[in-house]
Amino acid sequence: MKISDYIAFVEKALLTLVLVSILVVLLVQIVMRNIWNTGFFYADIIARQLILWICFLGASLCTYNRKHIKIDLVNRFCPRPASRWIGMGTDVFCAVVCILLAKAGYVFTLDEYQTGSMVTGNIPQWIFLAVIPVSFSVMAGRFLLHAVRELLTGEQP
Amino acid sequence: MIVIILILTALLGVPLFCVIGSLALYAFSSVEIDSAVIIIEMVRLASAPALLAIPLFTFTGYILAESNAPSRMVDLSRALFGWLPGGVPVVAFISCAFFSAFTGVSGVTIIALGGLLYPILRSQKYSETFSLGLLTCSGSLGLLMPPSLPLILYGIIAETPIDKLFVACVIPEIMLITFLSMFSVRKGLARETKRVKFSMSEVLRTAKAAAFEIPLPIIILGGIYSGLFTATEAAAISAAYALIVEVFIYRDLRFFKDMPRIIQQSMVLVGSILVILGVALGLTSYMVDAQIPMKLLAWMQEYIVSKWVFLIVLNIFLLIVGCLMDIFSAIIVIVPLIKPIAASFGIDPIHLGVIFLCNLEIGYSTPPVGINLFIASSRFERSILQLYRAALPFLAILLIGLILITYCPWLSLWLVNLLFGS
Repeated sequence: MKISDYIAFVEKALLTLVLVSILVVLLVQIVMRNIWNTGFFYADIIARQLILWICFLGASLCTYNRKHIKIDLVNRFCPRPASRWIGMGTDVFCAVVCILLAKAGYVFTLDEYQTGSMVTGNIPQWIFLAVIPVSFSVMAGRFLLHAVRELLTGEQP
Repeated sequence: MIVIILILTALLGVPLFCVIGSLALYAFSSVEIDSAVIIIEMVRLASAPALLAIPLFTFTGYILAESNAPSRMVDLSRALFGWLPGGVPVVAFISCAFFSAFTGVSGVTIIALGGLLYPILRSQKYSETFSLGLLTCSGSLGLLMPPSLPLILYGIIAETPIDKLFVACVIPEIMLITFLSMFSVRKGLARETKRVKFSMSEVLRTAKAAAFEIPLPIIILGGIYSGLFTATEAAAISAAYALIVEVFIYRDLRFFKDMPRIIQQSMVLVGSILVILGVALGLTSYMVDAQIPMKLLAWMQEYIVSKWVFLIVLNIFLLIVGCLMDIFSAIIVIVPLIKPIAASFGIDPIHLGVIFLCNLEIGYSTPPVGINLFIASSRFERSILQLYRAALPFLAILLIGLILITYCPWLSLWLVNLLFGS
């Protein structure tokens, strides 16, 4: 439980940092292009790669806050005890999916690391990809945590 | 078979990214391709040029929603339109449209503006049912107005130029607001509601209060249409502008106290959308390899012979999708499937976009499970059944608008052809 909170804190800090950097990079680019007619060659590419970080850190926090987009039709019209068991089942299902996606992400990231592919210049691709297996693993852990919490306390999100 | 199981899991409340992700995992493993392919496709997120606009516009919308911008906007539109018979509803339509366009149509409008507008409507002697229905249906009214996120996302997924989409939506959006306004003016005349006198000094006073927010839409639209900057750059500029205005000029928000929270809240929303987009890219690449859109097309062509029949089926299908599914996932999942089919019936992709978004806008408030109804039900503490009834007249009007938009392509395309050449 505590670990999940600590990770969430780190994720929030990183998200803030990443969004602010993207904003600053884009603004500097606009100013430089319009005034001096130049720009950093790398900046655009790196800003775009950072969207992966936003996507997966955001998604992981989303699991923490239980804010994922879902259809949620049955729970709205379902009695409480039943929806608790359904909730547990869906959480375990999600954990399995996240583990499989984390594995796929790990394979791909490792592959890019070993072949040494670069985003641009000497900035390696794997730095940006590493967020994928890490956040899917964190998400898997959090889904399991939700399931256990529901089992033990019957607590509903 | 597997598809049916997954639809069932989706209905049980499994987050959609897991539903789509598991389908992609299953699909690739069934043809013995390594699941890392899904990740390769996911990384395409980083090569879509306009995608960065989504986190930045969402951030802008959250800044505006957290500040006092909504009440300044309501004051200004009241001063401008409050003198009309049925003026207050017109004020509600216009401010909700602008506000939901900026906040990414995520229910924030009903929560933020509903609370402001409901008492004003009631004080003008509009019935409870009328007021509730109006605010429920207005919660997604900005869907067709730039820079609404679904509009940008549609452009990215359908690979359709976003500036053209923005232009195509102008006339349909004005038409929908006009239809709704005509209805409320009639209501206003019938009820002899009291009207505010038009006063120039009030207009000037409220305009002065919102002086720094009024330029925002002008910067975004002007910048994009004139080609001065791209959608992403417009998003960066509007985020920086909104931040400076709300923190340092109006001082509604404090930089160190409020900003980290707003960044985190908005990025959680962005993450929830983009992760679905990521896994859906994996699934889409499988579907294209397996020629599923082509098979679907061949199957449909057996039953559907004309463009008009296709459009009718499309409308019904999308209304159902709109009331079941969240708008972002609907765009991500459905657009790649219907785009080739629509193209084969000779429907312009830009016109398709307007039809698509208009359907989903209506689906948002359609019983039994349109999300706006649930949000309004909890916001105004009314039973869901009461909201079903309240929303009906407004839905009827929006449907008339939808029919016109669907079957008169020039409503969407005329302005595009005028500005960009055909």
